[in-house]
Amino acid sequence: MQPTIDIKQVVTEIKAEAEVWRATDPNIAILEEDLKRAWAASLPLGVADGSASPISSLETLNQINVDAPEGSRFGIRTLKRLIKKLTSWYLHYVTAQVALLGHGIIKTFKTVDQRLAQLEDLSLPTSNNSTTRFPISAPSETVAQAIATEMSADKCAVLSANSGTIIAAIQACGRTVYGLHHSASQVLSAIEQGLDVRQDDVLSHLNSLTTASLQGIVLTDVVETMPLAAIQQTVLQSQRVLLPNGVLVVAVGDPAQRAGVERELLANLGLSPTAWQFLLNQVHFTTRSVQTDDPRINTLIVGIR
Amino acid sequence: MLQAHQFTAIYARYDAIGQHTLGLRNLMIDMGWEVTTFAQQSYQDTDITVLNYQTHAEHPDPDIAIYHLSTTSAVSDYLLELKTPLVLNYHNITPGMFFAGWDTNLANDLERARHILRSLAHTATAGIADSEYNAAELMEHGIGKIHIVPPLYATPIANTPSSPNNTTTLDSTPKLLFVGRLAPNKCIEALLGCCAMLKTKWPEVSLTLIGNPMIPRYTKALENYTQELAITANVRFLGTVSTQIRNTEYAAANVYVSASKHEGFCVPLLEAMQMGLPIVAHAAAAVPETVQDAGVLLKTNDALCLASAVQRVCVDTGLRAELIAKGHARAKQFNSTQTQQRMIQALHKIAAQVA
Repeated sequence: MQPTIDIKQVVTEIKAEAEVWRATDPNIAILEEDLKRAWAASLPLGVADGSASPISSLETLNQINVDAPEGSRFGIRTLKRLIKKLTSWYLHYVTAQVALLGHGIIKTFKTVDQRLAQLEDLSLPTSNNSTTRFPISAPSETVAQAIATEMSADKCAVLSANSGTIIAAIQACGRTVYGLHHSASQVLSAIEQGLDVRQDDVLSHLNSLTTASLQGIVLTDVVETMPLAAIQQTVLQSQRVLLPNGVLVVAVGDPAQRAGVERELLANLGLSPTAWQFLLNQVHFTTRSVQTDDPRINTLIVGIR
Repeated sequence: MLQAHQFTAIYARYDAIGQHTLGLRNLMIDMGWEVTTFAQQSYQDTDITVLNYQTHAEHPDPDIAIYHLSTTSAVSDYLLELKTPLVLNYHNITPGMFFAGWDTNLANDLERARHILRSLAHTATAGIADSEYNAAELMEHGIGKIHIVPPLYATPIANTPSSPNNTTTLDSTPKLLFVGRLAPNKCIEALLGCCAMLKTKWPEVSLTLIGNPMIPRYTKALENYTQELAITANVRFLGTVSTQIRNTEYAAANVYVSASKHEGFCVPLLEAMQMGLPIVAHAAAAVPETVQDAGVLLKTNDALCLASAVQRVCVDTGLRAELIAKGHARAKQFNSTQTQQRMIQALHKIAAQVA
């Protein structure tokens, strides 16, 4: 019986024979490259050469394998330099594009961040905040009179109006004035007295006003219990809303003089008149302090824009 | 009497699935079953009555429905709704990725067919697969009971004498033959590359390609490639040919080559073995299972390796003789009597399962 041939062994030998064929016949390596190029050239648009990935194709297609003719060194060196230059130019181009893209993305993110910060500021807790609902004593006639004296301007707003004492005093001087209060009952009470008091929050109202639309603003009542960030926003918005040479009067009690329950509940809320003055100076108000005879609000801060 | 309805997307008499459908029909009738065949489309030259599947609802419910699945078809959607016990006779679906770029619609259809296969597998009672390879795919989709039966094709060359080239060798020129659709998964370009390689040693080498040029863009690319490689005089694209011409080409060739990346069974390999043609093929998908050790199977379809293998088969008399002998032996394992017996056993088991 004839011994059978081991086909697996034959396959191994065939592989080796293929390698020998490639090594001994210089035309084979060239033909293999030609096969790849010719098939790539024959492919219609939209068909990928499935035989290899683009990267591996690059690896094989860039194998220059020619017998260099004598005297061609200069030409080859020139070609080499040209390829280097092109590569360098291309890399510069690509890196520049990537840098531009990165710059654009960062700029976009920054803009978005700024917008979000603005939105965050605008959505700060206002006088609606429950901590500000602590009942604040209405300003005395003395304080109201002192404010009316300082408020030489027409078209004023009292933010916020409490029982309406200040509005009444200013109105008595013949000036146009309106006020705000968050409490509907307070607003109703003021309207019954013939005063122009509207229900709104201080910051929301200031945000809604157009720039340079008021001649005078009185900040009192709920601003005494605002957190610092809201106070800063109120000052900035007041500066925006006031006309040049407009008057801003701040009438608040000093937190240091709070007693008992009030001191504990309103801890870290509100600023002293001195601190208010400091803030107004920071946004370029010309300020001065005015003393009153009132035991609680004994100092008014008057700022001219 | 057990009633069976067969379904197929397209019934064509000389198509491999058409022949299998016909063979299965005749077998079931011999078993005493009552068989009706339905298709979405059938060609006029059919020798049996094939009804349009849309008329199926007019017939009484059968005991069993057998679906020959190989591509997408409206029949699949219809069968998804059918309450009758379903047997999937799976002939494999070529993955759509092979056709991406060449024929997008076909690629999408094939992917959809694979998707439908998953759905049908959930409702199928049993599966019949051409090969272990196809069975593994069915199993993957959840069909538990699978019967492996090779295609019941009534081979027209079963009794044809072997090729005159099958024993003599050779310093004669390699005459390569490939039979199958000209489709991207068959990697015809690798065969053309192999031909170009062999031309460096045998300027008169020839490659004959028989099969339906189903993708015009691919066929055009192959023609361009043939011109680029300057082998137009060596390559013949015969397209679809009659059985007689095909037999003549089998007889005239001295090596059967295949670089295909995807085959569910590959009937032409069987035909080549019957005809005493040594096989050089890429060992992909079901090819190793069909050929076993009756051919030179390469792990790559690289043109140089294929050419080297062809060269070896042409010059090594001992190897050639052994491949021919093993090919004959292997082909005998697929003779119609044995295959029919396996199918009958499978059908009996399925009938018992349904009952």
